[in-house]
Amino acid sequence: MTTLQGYGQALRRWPFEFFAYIGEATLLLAEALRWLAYPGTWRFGRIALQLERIGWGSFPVVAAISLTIGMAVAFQTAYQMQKFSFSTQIYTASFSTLMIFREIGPVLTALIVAGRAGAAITAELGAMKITQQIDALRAMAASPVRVLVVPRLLALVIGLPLLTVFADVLGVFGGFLVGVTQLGIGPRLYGEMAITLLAFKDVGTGLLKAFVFAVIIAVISCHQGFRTEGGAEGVGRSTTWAVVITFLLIIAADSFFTAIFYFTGQ
Amino acid sequence: MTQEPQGAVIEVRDLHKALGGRPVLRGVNLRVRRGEIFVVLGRSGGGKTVLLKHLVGLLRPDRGEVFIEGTEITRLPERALDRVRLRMGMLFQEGALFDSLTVFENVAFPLREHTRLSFREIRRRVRECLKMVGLRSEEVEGLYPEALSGGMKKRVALARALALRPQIVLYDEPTSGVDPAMGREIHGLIARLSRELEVTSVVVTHDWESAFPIADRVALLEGGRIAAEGPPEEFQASEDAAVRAFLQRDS
Repeated sequence: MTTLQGYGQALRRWPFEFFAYIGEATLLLAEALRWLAYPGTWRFGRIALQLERIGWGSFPVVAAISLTIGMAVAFQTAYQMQKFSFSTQIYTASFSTLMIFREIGPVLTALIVAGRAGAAITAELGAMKITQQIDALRAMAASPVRVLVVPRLLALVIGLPLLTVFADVLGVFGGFLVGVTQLGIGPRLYGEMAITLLAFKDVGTGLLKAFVFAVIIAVISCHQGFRTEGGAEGVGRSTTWAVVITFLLIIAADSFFTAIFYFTGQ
Repeated sequence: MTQEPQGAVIEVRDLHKALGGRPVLRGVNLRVRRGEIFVVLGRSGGGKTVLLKHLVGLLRPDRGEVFIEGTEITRLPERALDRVRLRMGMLFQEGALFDSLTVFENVAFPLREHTRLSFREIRRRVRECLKMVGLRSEEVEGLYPEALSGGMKKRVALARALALRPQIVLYDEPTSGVDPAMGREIHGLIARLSRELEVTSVVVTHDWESAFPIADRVALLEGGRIAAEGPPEEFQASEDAAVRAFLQRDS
Protein backbone atom coordinates (compact mmCIF):
# COMPACT_ATOMS: atom_id res chain seq x y z
CA MET A 1 0.00 0.00 0.00
CA THR A 2 1.36 3.44 -0.84
CA THR A 3 1.62 6.05 1.85
CA LEU A 4 -1.01 8.09 0.09
CA GLN A 5 -3.54 5.27 0.24
CA GLY A 6 -2.64 4.86 3.91
CA TYR A 7 -3.45 8.48 4.58
CA GLY A 8 -6.68 8.17 2.64
CA GLN A 9 -7.73 5.21 4.72
CA ALA A 10 -6.75 6.88 7.97
CA LEU A 11 -8.75 9.92 6.95
CA ARG A 12 -11.86 7.85 6.26
CA ARG A 13 -11.51 5.94 9.52
CA TRP A 14 -10.88 9.05 11.55
CA PRO A 15 -14.49 10.06 12.30
CA PHE A 16 -15.38 6.54 13.44
CA GLU A 17 -12.37 6.31 15.69
CA PHE A 18 -13.04 9.74 17.11
CA PHE A 19 -16.62 8.90 18.01
CA ALA A 20 -15.62 5.51 19.37
CA TYR A 21 -13.08 7.29 21.56
CA ILE A 22 -15.65 9.78 22.84
CA GLY A 23 -18.02 6.87 23.44
CA GLU A 24 -15.45 5.02 25.53
CA ALA A 25 -14.66 8.16 27.49
CA THR A 26 -18.38 8.67 28.14
CA LEU A 27 -18.67 5.12 29.47
CA LEU A 28 -15.77 5.83 31.80
CA LEU A 29 -17.58 8.93 33.07
CA ALA A 30 -20.77 6.92 33.55
CA GLU A 31 -18.91 4.32 35.58
CA ALA A 32 -17.27 7.02 37.70
CA LEU A 33 -20.68 8.58 38.39
CA ARG A 34 -22.11 5.19 39.31
CA TRP A 35 -19.36 4.73 41.89
CA LEU A 36 -20.34 8.02 43.55
CA ALA A 37 -23.42 6.28 44.92
CA TYR A 38 -21.20 3.80 46.76
CA PRO A 39 -20.11 5.08 50.19
CA GLY A 40 -16.67 3.44 50.07
CA THR A 41 -15.81 5.73 47.15
CA TRP A 42 -15.82 8.84 49.29
CA ARG A 43 -12.30 8.76 50.64
CA PHE A 44 -11.65 12.28 51.81
CA GLY A 45 -7.89 11.76 51.97
CA ARG A 46 -7.66 10.71 48.33
CA ILE A 47 -9.76 13.62 47.10
CA ALA A 48 -7.78 16.11 49.21
CA LEU A 49 -4.49 14.75 47.87
CA GLN A 50 -5.64 15.24 44.28
CA LEU A 51 -7.10 18.65 45.07
CA GLU A 52 -3.75 19.71 46.45
CA ARG A 53 -1.86 18.41 43.42
CA ILE A 54 -4.27 19.63 40.78
CA GLY A 55 -5.68 22.80 42.30
CA TRP A 56 -3.19 24.21 44.71
CA GLY A 57 -0.26 23.32 42.49
CA SER A 58 -1.76 25.31 39.62
CA PHE A 59 -2.22 28.55 41.58
CA PRO A 60 1.10 30.27 40.77
CA VAL A 61 0.97 29.70 37.02
CA VAL A 62 -2.74 30.59 36.81
CA ALA A 63 -2.01 33.77 38.79
CA ALA A 64 0.86 34.85 36.57
CA ILE A 65 -0.94 34.16 33.32
CA SER A 66 -4.33 35.61 34.23
CA LEU A 67 -2.79 38.79 35.59
CA THR A 68 -0.80 39.45 32.43
CA ILE A 69 -3.62 38.44 30.08
CA GLY A 70 -5.95 40.71 32.07
CA MET A 71 -3.56 43.57 31.38
CA ALA A 72 -3.28 42.69 27.71
CA VAL A 73 -7.07 42.50 27.34
CA ALA A 74 -7.43 45.94 28.93
CA PHE A 75 -4.86 47.39 26.53
CA GLN A 76 -6.53 45.81 23.51
CA THR A 77 -9.98 46.98 24.56
CA ALA A 78 -8.72 50.50 25.24
CA TYR A 79 -7.05 50.53 21.83
CA GLN A 80 -10.31 49.63 20.08
CA MET A 81 -12.32 52.06 22.19
CA GLN A 82 -9.99 54.94 21.29
CA LYS A 83 -11.08 54.57 17.67
CA PHE A 84 -14.56 55.78 18.58
CA SER A 85 -13.84 58.57 20.96
CA PHE A 86 -11.73 59.33 23.93
CA SER A 87 -14.70 59.20 26.29
CA THR A 88 -15.60 55.61 25.43
CA GLN A 89 -12.27 54.53 26.88
CA ILE A 90 -13.84 54.23 30.31
CA TYR A 91 -15.83 51.28 28.94
CA THR A 92 -12.56 49.41 28.83
CA ALA A 93 -13.29 48.45 32.42
CA SER A 94 -16.73 47.05 31.62
CA PHE A 95 -15.85 45.16 28.47
CA SER A 96 -12.60 43.65 29.59
CA THR A 97 -14.20 42.51 32.84
CA LEU A 98 -17.02 40.84 30.91
CA MET A 99 -14.59 39.19 28.52
CA ILE A 100 -12.58 37.85 31.41
CA PHE A 101 -15.50 36.46 33.38
CA ARG A 102 -17.36 34.98 30.45
CA GLU A 103 -14.58 33.73 28.24
CA ILE A 104 -10.95 34.26 29.05
CA GLY A 105 -10.94 33.25 32.69
CA PRO A 106 -12.63 29.86 32.27
CA VAL A 107 -10.91 28.88 29.01
CA LEU A 108 -7.45 30.00 29.98
CA THR A 109 -7.61 28.33 33.37
CA ALA A 110 -8.92 25.11 31.83
CA LEU A 111 -6.12 25.07 29.24
CA ILE A 112 -3.48 25.66 31.90
CA VAL A 113 -4.89 22.93 34.12
CA ALA A 114 -5.25 20.54 31.16
CA GLY A 115 -1.62 21.09 30.20
CA ARG A 116 -0.35 20.88 33.73
CA ALA A 117 -2.56 18.57 35.77
CA GLY A 118 -4.27 16.68 32.94
CA ALA A 119 -0.96 15.69 31.40
CA ALA A 120 0.33 14.64 34.83
CA ILE A 121 -2.74 12.44 35.36
CA THR A 122 -2.26 10.68 32.02
CA ALA A 123 1.44 10.17 32.64
CA GLU A 124 0.82 8.80 36.13
CA LEU A 125 -1.98 6.42 35.16
CA GLY A 126 -0.10 5.45 31.98
CA ALA A 127 2.97 4.52 34.00
CA MET A 128 0.74 2.55 36.37
CA LYS A 129 -0.80 0.76 33.39
CA ILE A 130 2.48 -0.36 31.85
CA THR A 131 3.88 -1.53 35.20
CA GLN A 132 0.72 -3.62 35.82
CA GLN A 133 -0.38 -1.52 38.79
CA ILE A 134 -3.80 -1.11 37.18
CA ASP A 135 -4.04 -4.90 36.78
CA ALA A 136 -2.93 -5.26 40.39
CA LEU A 137 -5.79 -3.02 41.51
CA ARG A 138 -8.29 -5.07 39.56
CA ALA A 139 -6.86 -8.33 40.85
CA MET A 140 -7.33 -6.96 44.38
CA ALA A 141 -10.98 -6.26 43.60
CA ALA A 142 -10.30 -2.52 43.85
CA SER A 143 -11.90 -0.84 40.84
CA PRO A 144 -9.35 1.47 39.16
CA VAL A 145 -12.24 3.78 38.30
CA ARG A 146 -13.25 4.09 41.92
CA VAL A 147 -9.72 4.34 43.30
CA LEU A 148 -8.08 6.47 40.61
CA VAL A 149 -10.66 8.23 38.44
CA VAL A 150 -13.25 9.34 40.99
CA PRO A 151 -10.87 11.31 43.26
CA ARG A 152 -9.33 13.05 40.24
CA LEU A 153 -12.70 13.85 38.76
CA LEU A 154 -13.97 15.30 42.05
CA ALA A 155 -10.77 17.26 42.63
CA LEU A 156 -11.02 18.81 39.16
CA VAL A 157 -14.73 19.56 39.47
CA ILE A 158 -14.10 21.32 42.79
CA GLY A 159 -10.72 22.83 41.95
CA LEU A 160 -11.18 24.17 38.45
CA PRO A 161 -14.14 26.49 39.21
CA LEU A 162 -12.26 27.82 42.26
CA LEU A 163 -9.17 28.42 40.16
CA THR A 164 -11.36 30.09 37.55
CA VAL A 165 -12.79 32.55 40.06
CA PHE A 166 -9.28 33.28 41.22
CA ALA A 167 -8.14 33.80 37.62
CA ASP A 168 -11.13 36.06 36.94
CA VAL A 169 -10.34 38.26 39.91
CA LEU A 170 -6.67 38.52 39.05
CA GLY A 171 -7.45 39.16 35.39
CA VAL A 172 -9.76 42.02 36.33
CA PHE A 173 -7.08 43.29 38.67
CA GLY A 174 -4.62 43.25 35.77
CA GLY A 175 -7.07 45.32 33.76
CA PHE A 176 -7.50 47.64 36.70
CA LEU A 177 -3.75 48.22 36.91
CA VAL A 178 -3.65 49.14 33.24
CA GLY A 179 -6.74 51.34 33.48
CA VAL A 180 -5.48 53.25 36.49
CA THR A 181 -1.81 53.62 35.63
CA GLN A 182 -1.87 53.82 31.83
CA LEU A 183 -5.30 55.03 30.77
CA GLY A 184 -5.81 57.56 33.48
CA ILE A 185 -9.12 56.15 34.70
CA GLY A 186 -9.62 56.76 38.42
CA PRO A 187 -9.54 53.65 40.58
CA ARG A 188 -13.03 54.25 41.86
CA LEU A 189 -14.46 54.89 38.40
CA TYR A 190 -12.73 51.78 37.01
CA GLY A 191 -14.25 49.71 39.79
CA GLU A 192 -17.72 51.05 39.17
CA MET A 193 -17.47 50.64 35.39
CA ALA A 194 -16.17 47.10 35.84
CA ILE A 195 -19.26 45.96 37.69
CA THR A 196 -21.99 47.98 35.95
CA LEU A 197 -22.42 45.55 33.07
CA LEU A 198 -21.46 42.49 35.05
CA ALA A 199 -24.43 40.38 36.08
CA PHE A 200 -24.66 37.20 38.09
CA LYS A 201 -25.24 35.22 34.91
CA ASP A 202 -21.83 36.30 33.55
CA VAL A 203 -20.12 34.76 36.53
CA GLY A 204 -22.50 31.79 36.40
CA THR A 205 -21.94 30.96 32.75
CA GLY A 206 -18.19 31.16 33.31
CA LEU A 207 -18.42 28.75 36.21
CA LEU A 208 -20.70 26.40 34.28
CA LYS A 209 -18.05 26.28 31.57
CA ALA A 210 -15.36 25.62 34.16
CA PHE A 211 -17.39 22.70 35.50
CA VAL A 212 -17.77 21.15 32.05
CA PHE A 213 -14.08 21.70 31.24
CA ALA A 214 -13.16 19.98 34.51
CA VAL A 215 -15.15 16.89 33.52
CA ILE A 216 -13.51 16.88 30.07
CA ILE A 217 -10.00 17.12 31.53
CA ALA A 218 -10.60 14.41 34.13
CA VAL A 219 -12.27 11.93 31.81
CA ILE A 220 -9.95 12.28 28.82
CA SER A 221 -6.78 12.32 30.93
CA CYS A 222 -7.79 9.21 32.86
CA HIS A 223 -9.10 7.40 29.80
CA GLN A 224 -5.93 8.10 27.87
CA GLY A 225 -3.87 6.93 30.84
CA PHE A 226 -5.74 3.63 30.96
CA ARG A 227 -5.26 3.15 27.21
CA THR A 228 -1.50 3.49 27.45
CA GLU A 229 0.56 0.74 25.91
CA GLY A 230 4.14 0.27 24.80
CA GLY A 231 6.50 1.30 27.57
CA ALA A 232 7.96 4.72 28.29
CA GLU A 233 7.43 5.83 24.71
CA GLY A 234 3.76 4.87 25.01
CA VAL A 235 3.40 7.02 28.12
CA GLY A 236 4.82 9.98 26.21
CA ARG A 237 2.50 9.36 23.28
CA SER A 238 -0.52 9.01 25.53
CA THR A 239 0.28 12.22 27.36
CA THR A 240 0.62 14.16 24.13
CA TRP A 241 -2.69 12.81 22.88
CA ALA A 242 -4.42 13.57 26.16
CA VAL A 243 -3.36 17.21 25.96
CA VAL A 244 -4.27 17.54 22.28
CA ILE A 245 -7.69 15.95 22.73
CA THR A 246 -8.60 17.87 25.90
CA PHE A 247 -7.54 21.16 24.27
CA LEU A 248 -9.71 20.44 21.23
CA LEU A 249 -12.68 19.40 23.32
CA ILE A 250 -12.36 22.38 25.66
CA ILE A 251 -12.33 24.81 22.73
CA ALA A 252 -15.19 22.97 21.05
CA ALA A 253 -17.27 22.95 24.23
CA ASP A 254 -16.47 26.62 24.79
CA SER A 255 -17.68 27.65 21.32
CA PHE A 256 -20.75 25.52 21.78
CA PHE A 257 -21.64 27.08 25.13
CA THR A 258 -20.87 30.60 23.98
CA ALA A 259 -23.18 30.13 21.00
CA ILE A 260 -25.92 28.64 23.21
CA PHE A 261 -25.64 31.52 25.70
CA TYR A 262 -25.74 34.01 22.85
CA PHE A 263 -28.88 32.59 21.30
CA THR A 264 -30.65 32.07 24.61
CA GLY A 265 -29.73 35.56 25.76
CA GLN A 266 -27.67 34.35 28.69
CA MET B 1 -17.46 -19.39 53.27
CA THR B 2 -18.47 -21.56 50.37
CA GLN B 3 -18.77 -25.28 50.55
CA GLU B 4 -15.86 -27.35 49.36
CA PRO B 5 -16.82 -27.71 45.71
CA GLN B 6 -16.79 -31.01 43.95
CA GLY B 7 -13.53 -31.63 42.15
CA ALA B 8 -11.13 -28.87 41.39
CA VAL B 9 -10.63 -25.45 43.02
CA ILE B 10 -9.64 -24.10 39.62
CA GLU B 11 -10.87 -25.63 36.44
CA VAL B 12 -10.12 -24.35 32.96
CA ARG B 13 -12.04 -25.75 30.01
CA ASP B 14 -11.05 -25.34 26.39
CA LEU B 15 -9.69 -21.81 26.82
CA HIS B 16 -8.98 -19.88 23.62
CA LYS B 17 -7.51 -16.41 23.41
CA ALA B 18 -5.96 -14.44 20.57
CA LEU B 19 -4.10 -11.20 21.26
CA GLY B 20 -3.38 -8.77 18.46
CA GLY B 21 -4.64 -11.33 15.93
CA ARG B 22 -2.17 -13.97 17.14
CA PRO B 23 -3.63 -17.05 18.84
CA VAL B 24 -1.99 -17.40 22.25
CA LEU B 25 -4.16 -19.97 23.98
CA ARG B 26 -5.65 -22.67 21.78
CA GLY B 27 -7.74 -24.90 23.96
CA VAL B 28 -6.20 -25.05 27.43
CA ASN B 29 -7.68 -27.57 29.86
CA LEU B 30 -6.53 -27.94 33.43
CA ARG B 31 -7.71 -28.73 36.94
CA VAL B 32 -6.03 -27.57 40.12
CA ARG B 33 -6.88 -29.37 43.36
CA ARG B 34 -7.32 -27.76 46.73
CA GLY B 35 -4.10 -27.09 48.59
CA GLU B 36 -1.70 -28.19 45.91
CA ILE B 37 1.14 -26.30 44.25
CA PHE B 38 0.49 -26.46 40.54
CA VAL B 39 3.38 -25.32 38.36
CA VAL B 40 2.79 -24.23 34.77
CA LEU B 41 5.95 -24.31 32.67
CA GLY B 42 6.48 -22.87 29.23
CA ARG B 43 8.68 -20.75 27.05
CA SER B 44 8.60 -17.01 27.63
CA GLY B 45 6.00 -15.51 25.32
CA GLY B 46 4.18 -18.84 25.34
CA GLY B 47 1.03 -17.51 26.98
CA LYS B 48 1.64 -18.43 30.62
CA THR B 49 0.88 -14.95 31.90
CA VAL B 50 -2.13 -14.74 29.60
CA LEU B 51 -3.44 -17.97 31.12
CA LEU B 52 -2.88 -16.64 34.64
CA LYS B 53 -4.68 -13.40 33.84
CA HIS B 54 -7.73 -15.38 32.80
CA LEU B 55 -7.85 -17.01 36.23
CA VAL B 56 -8.49 -13.65 37.94
CA GLY B 57 -10.62 -12.24 35.16
CA LEU B 58 -8.06 -9.64 34.02
CA LEU B 59 -8.62 -11.02 30.53
CA ARG B 60 -11.77 -12.47 29.02
CA PRO B 61 -11.36 -15.49 26.76
CA ASP B 62 -12.52 -15.68 23.18
CA ARG B 63 -13.91 -19.10 23.99
CA GLY B 64 -13.89 -21.49 26.92
CA GLU B 65 -14.63 -21.42 30.61
CA VAL B 66 -12.85 -20.80 33.90
CA PHE B 67 -14.29 -22.10 37.17
CA ILE B 68 -13.00 -20.75 40.46
CA GLU B 69 -14.33 -22.77 43.39
CA GLY B 70 -17.23 -23.81 41.21
CA THR B 71 -18.11 -20.31 39.90
CA GLU B 72 -17.79 -19.73 36.18
CA ILE B 73 -16.08 -16.32 35.96
CA THR B 74 -15.53 -15.56 32.29
CA ARG B 75 -18.92 -13.98 31.82
CA LEU B 76 -19.33 -12.41 35.26
CA PRO B 77 -19.70 -8.63 35.40
CA GLU B 78 -16.75 -6.85 37.01
CA ARG B 79 -18.41 -6.38 40.40
CA ALA B 80 -19.46 -10.00 40.76
CA LEU B 81 -15.96 -10.93 39.68
CA ASP B 82 -14.61 -8.79 42.54
CA ARG B 83 -16.26 -11.12 45.06
CA VAL B 84 -14.34 -14.04 43.55
CA ARG B 85 -11.13 -12.00 43.41
CA LEU B 86 -11.31 -11.30 47.14
CA ARG B 87 -10.57 -14.99 47.69
CA MET B 88 -7.50 -14.84 45.46
CA GLY B 89 -4.11 -13.18 45.62
CA MET B 90 -1.86 -12.54 42.66
CA LEU B 91 1.86 -11.91 42.59
CA PHE B 92 2.75 -9.95 39.46
CA GLN B 93 5.98 -10.45 37.61
CA GLU B 94 7.57 -7.13 38.53
CA GLY B 95 5.60 -6.95 41.77
CA ALA B 96 3.32 -4.16 40.49
CA LEU B 97 3.65 -2.35 43.82
CA PHE B 98 1.98 1.04 43.94
CA ASP B 99 4.97 3.31 43.60
CA SER B 100 3.26 6.29 45.18
CA LEU B 101 2.70 4.33 48.38
CA THR B 102 5.17 3.08 50.99
CA VAL B 103 5.70 -0.61 51.71
CA PHE B 104 3.35 -0.34 54.68
CA GLU B 105 0.65 1.40 52.64
CA ASN B 106 1.01 -1.14 49.84
CA VAL B 107 0.42 -4.09 52.13
CA ALA B 108 -2.30 -2.22 54.00
CA PHE B 109 -4.06 -1.25 50.77
CA PRO B 110 -6.29 -4.32 50.35
CA LEU B 111 -7.13 -4.23 54.06
CA ARG B 112 -8.14 -0.59 53.89
CA GLU B 113 -10.14 -1.22 50.74
CA HIS B 114 -12.04 -4.26 51.86
CA THR B 115 -12.18 -4.33 55.63
CA ARG B 116 -13.22 -1.99 58.40
CA LEU B 117 -10.32 -2.93 60.61
CA SER B 118 -8.90 -0.34 62.98
CA PHE B 119 -5.50 1.15 62.28
CA ARG B 120 -3.93 -0.94 65.04
CA GLU B 121 -5.39 -4.13 63.65
CA ILE B 122 -4.24 -3.22 60.13
CA ARG B 123 -0.76 -2.50 61.43
CA ARG B 124 -0.70 -5.85 63.18
CA ARG B 125 -1.80 -7.66 59.99
CA VAL B 126 0.71 -5.77 57.80
CA ARG B 127 3.57 -6.67 60.13
CA GLU B 128 2.41 -10.26 60.26
CA CYS B 129 2.35 -10.46 56.45
CA LEU B 130 5.78 -8.85 56.10
CA LYS B 131 7.13 -11.31 58.65
CA MET B 132 5.63 -14.23 56.73
CA VAL B 133 7.61 -13.29 53.65
CA GLY B 134 10.78 -12.87 55.65
CA LEU B 135 10.97 -9.09 55.88
CA ARG B 136 11.55 -7.05 59.02
CA SER B 137 8.77 -4.52 59.07
CA GLU B 138 10.70 -1.90 61.04
CA GLU B 139 13.32 -1.85 58.28
CA VAL B 140 11.10 -1.69 55.21
CA GLU B 141 7.74 -0.28 56.30
CA GLY B 142 8.50 3.33 55.47
CA LEU B 143 10.37 2.73 52.22
CA TYR B 144 8.97 3.42 48.77
CA PRO B 145 9.15 0.62 46.16
CA GLU B 146 11.87 2.40 44.19
CA ALA B 147 14.22 1.91 47.14
CA LEU B 148 13.75 -1.88 47.13
CA SER B 149 15.74 -4.56 45.31
CA GLY B 150 13.97 -6.89 42.87
CA GLY B 151 13.78 -9.71 45.39
CA MET B 152 12.43 -7.44 48.12
CA LYS B 153 9.80 -6.02 45.77
CA LYS B 154 8.56 -9.53 45.12
CA ARG B 155 8.38 -10.25 48.83
CA VAL B 156 6.46 -7.08 49.56
CA ALA B 157 4.11 -7.82 46.65
CA LEU B 158 3.60 -11.30 48.04
CA ALA B 159 2.86 -9.86 51.49
CA ARG B 160 0.27 -7.62 49.83
CA ALA B 161 -1.24 -10.58 47.98
CA LEU B 162 -1.55 -12.47 51.28
CA ALA B 163 -3.04 -9.59 53.28
CA LEU B 164 -6.64 -10.67 52.81
CA ARG B 165 -5.79 -14.31 53.55
CA PRO B 166 -6.67 -15.66 50.13
CA GLN B 167 -7.59 -19.27 49.41
CA ILE B 168 -5.79 -19.22 46.08
CA VAL B 169 -2.50 -17.50 45.22
CA LEU B 170 -1.30 -17.04 41.65
CA TYR B 171 2.38 -16.40 41.00
CA ASP B 172 3.55 -14.91 37.72
CA GLU B 173 7.24 -15.75 37.21
CA PRO B 174 8.08 -15.37 40.91
CA THR B 175 11.80 -15.92 40.31
CA SER B 176 12.34 -13.81 37.20
CA GLY B 177 14.85 -11.03 37.62
CA VAL B 178 16.38 -12.41 40.81
CA ASP B 179 19.57 -14.44 41.21
CA PRO B 180 19.32 -18.26 41.43
CA ALA B 181 19.89 -18.34 45.20
CA MET B 182 17.10 -15.83 45.73
CA GLY B 183 15.00 -17.82 43.26
CA ARG B 184 15.31 -20.98 45.35
CA GLU B 185 14.54 -18.94 48.45
CA ILE B 186 11.36 -17.55 46.89
CA HIS B 187 10.24 -20.98 45.80
CA GLY B 188 10.92 -22.22 49.34
CA LEU B 189 8.80 -19.38 50.61
CA ILE B 190 5.95 -20.36 48.29
CA ALA B 191 6.11 -23.94 49.57
CA ARG B 192 6.12 -22.81 53.19
CA LEU B 193 3.22 -20.41 52.71
CA SER B 194 1.13 -22.98 50.91
CA ARG B 195 1.70 -25.43 53.78
CA GLU B 196 1.17 -22.97 56.61
CA LEU B 197 -1.80 -21.10 55.13
CA GLU B 198 -3.23 -24.09 53.26
CA VAL B 199 -3.66 -22.06 50.10
CA THR B 200 -3.89 -23.43 46.60
CA SER B 201 -0.99 -22.12 44.52
CA VAL B 202 -0.57 -21.78 40.78
CA VAL B 203 3.00 -20.91 39.82
CA VAL B 204 3.80 -19.88 36.29
CA THR B 205 7.52 -20.07 35.52
CA HIS B 206 10.22 -21.12 33.07
CA ASP B 207 12.60 -21.83 35.94
CA TRP B 208 11.75 -25.53 36.31
CA GLU B 209 14.88 -26.52 38.20
CA SER B 210 14.03 -24.60 41.33
CA ALA B 211 10.26 -25.06 40.90
CA PHE B 212 10.28 -28.89 40.73
CA PRO B 213 11.17 -29.51 44.39
CA ILE B 214 8.08 -27.60 45.55
CA ALA B 215 5.61 -28.69 42.86
CA ASP B 216 2.83 -31.19 43.52
CA ARG B 217 2.00 -31.29 39.85
CA VAL B 218 3.55 -29.76 36.75
CA ALA B 219 2.04 -28.85 33.40
CA LEU B 220 3.76 -27.74 30.21
CA LEU B 221 2.06 -25.04 28.17
CA GLU B 222 3.24 -25.43 24.60
CA GLY B 223 1.67 -24.15 21.40
CA GLY B 224 -1.27 -22.73 23.32
CA ARG B 225 -2.23 -26.07 24.88
CA ILE B 226 -1.24 -28.14 27.88
CA ALA B 227 1.20 -30.55 26.22
CA ALA B 228 1.96 -32.65 29.28
CA GLU B 229 0.93 -32.82 32.91
CA GLY B 230 1.86 -34.84 35.98
CA PRO B 231 3.91 -35.03 39.17
CA PRO B 232 7.42 -33.58 38.76
CA GLU B 233 9.17 -36.99 38.91
CA GLU B 234 6.97 -38.39 36.17
CA PHE B 235 7.30 -35.22 34.21
CA GLN B 236 11.08 -35.28 34.37
CA ALA B 237 11.16 -38.90 33.25
CA SER B 238 8.66 -38.30 30.46
CA GLU B 239 9.53 -39.41 26.94
CA ASP B 240 7.21 -36.80 25.46
CA ALA B 241 9.06 -34.84 22.78
CA ALA B 242 7.79 -31.44 23.90
CA VAL B 243 8.75 -32.11 27.51
CA ARG B 244 12.22 -33.35 26.55
CA ALA B 245 12.78 -30.34 24.33
CA PHE B 246 11.73 -27.95 27.07
CA LEU B 247 13.82 -29.53 29.80
CA GLN B 248 16.92 -29.83 27.61
CA ARG B 249 16.76 -26.35 26.18
CA ASP B 250 16.47 -24.74 29.56
CA SER B 251 19.01 -26.74 31.53
